[in-house]
Amino acid sequence: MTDWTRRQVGGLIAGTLLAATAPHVARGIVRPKVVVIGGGIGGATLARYLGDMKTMDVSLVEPNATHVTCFFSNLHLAGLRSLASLTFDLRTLANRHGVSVIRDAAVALDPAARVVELGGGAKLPYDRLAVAPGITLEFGAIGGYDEAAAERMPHAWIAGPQSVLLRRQLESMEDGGLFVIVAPPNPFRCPPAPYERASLVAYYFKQFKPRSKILILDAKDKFSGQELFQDAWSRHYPGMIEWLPAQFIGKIKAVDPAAFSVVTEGQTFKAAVANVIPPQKAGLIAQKAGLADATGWCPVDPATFDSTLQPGIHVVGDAIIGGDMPKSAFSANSQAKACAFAIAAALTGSPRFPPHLFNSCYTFLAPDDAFTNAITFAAEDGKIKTKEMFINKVGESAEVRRKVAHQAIGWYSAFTADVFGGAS
Amino acid sequence: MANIVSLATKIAAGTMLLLFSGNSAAEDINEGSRIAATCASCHDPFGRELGIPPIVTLDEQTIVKRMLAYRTSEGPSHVMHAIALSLSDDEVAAVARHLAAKANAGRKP
Repeated sequence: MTDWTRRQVGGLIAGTLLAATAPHVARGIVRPKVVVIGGGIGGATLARYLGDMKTMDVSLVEPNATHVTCFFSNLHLAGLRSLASLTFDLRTLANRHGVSVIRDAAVALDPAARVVELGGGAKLPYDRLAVAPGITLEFGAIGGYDEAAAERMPHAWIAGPQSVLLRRQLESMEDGGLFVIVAPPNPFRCPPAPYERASLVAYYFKQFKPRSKILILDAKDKFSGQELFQDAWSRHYPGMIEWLPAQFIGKIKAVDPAAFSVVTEGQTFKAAVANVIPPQKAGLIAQKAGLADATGWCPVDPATFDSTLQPGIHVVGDAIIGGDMPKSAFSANSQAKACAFAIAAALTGSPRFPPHLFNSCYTFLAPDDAFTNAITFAAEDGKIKTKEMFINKVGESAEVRRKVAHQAIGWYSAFTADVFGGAS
Repeated sequence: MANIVSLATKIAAGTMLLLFSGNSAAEDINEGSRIAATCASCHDPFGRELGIPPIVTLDEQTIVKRMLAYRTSEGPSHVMHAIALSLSDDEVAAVARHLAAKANAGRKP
């Protein structure tokens, strides 16, 4: 039998089947339903890639109409980028990628009935559910640091109004003031970001408030990209940035928002502007739905990003225990793609692949000096392991670094188009 | 007869899968599209040169040649060096085929 004949016979049988089947039943089988909770980098990427496959009904549940990227928000703090330029409308996912964007919050999950309950009361049925809840800030982990305190001493760790607030405080700070950054313990969202923040705020101070100083009070004794940062600080901002590791200051115990002070075991530091980045854990819905373990983060199968605690519910992005993968937007994007292919394989019978997991983060030391890492990963023995890692090196020419800074701008444009849907 | 019935069932099942995967506009998911998803994290979808070279207009052989060159050296791009090291020859061929096919489809009116 030739292929041509097969198609003829197939067409006839299919026609008969279709005629014999009630349309609503046919439709019910035709389009499996996938619900994605969270319109950040992981959730938006996942919804976009599932939507582009055109084989599933994809809903994205997110209370906000827009997403402000955390990456590049340090450029906003330095006065180098508007918040509008970092803001993306989730409706593009609906208009160009066939995703139903539902502006509501997921308040409860019912894995047995396969239903997501929304704040507005609606119940969304699903065949597969994916949760990309990002992080929750652990208010209370540092004494006195609660949501009210964050209005005085912003964390600016979830971009948006907090970024605007911190920028305003830096703008109104007098020359000669002390800007204190409290850096969180591992693991946390975007490991190089507190130090990129110090670098870019130093760039701003150097131009407009050159007598000002930056003090980093760290809950750790070392940090991501440390050599590259410390080299850049001595080259670009000599004497301006001081880093105090945990072994010098002891535990970061409390803050006093009224006095703008940070209290550690040994000392009290009084700031003109204080940026307190508290410890973090997986987003609230992950905690409520039993997706997070005792660490506060979500264990997953690294090939499919299926929760190991609640199989059938996928988790991607900052909320997961990512093994060697850092909590970065790039990681979330990479995980979401692997997860999209795994969900398609489960629901539509498309081929199964080992995940192609990758991370490359651009980090600014100054507007014309940036570095990037490149890490490939593989899923091995239930964990995500680093295969190869490359990063810029101390001592490279200014020209090399200028080029990376230029690439970073291009990367931002392409990456956000990939996540939020710039082209189909 | 049993064979014919079984064949018909198989064909019907195959057709149902096709139908259930929507329509002919559904994206073909294959090795090439899986890897190309990684490319899309950095390379501009509109083919603009914004610091990172565009790849949407490259032909298959050029992509293969460049990927193999990236694999041998950390310069000029350690990002592409890492990517190239993570792909087998077959995967490089698959992603090149996929990207070039998309570029060709894009050129049609």
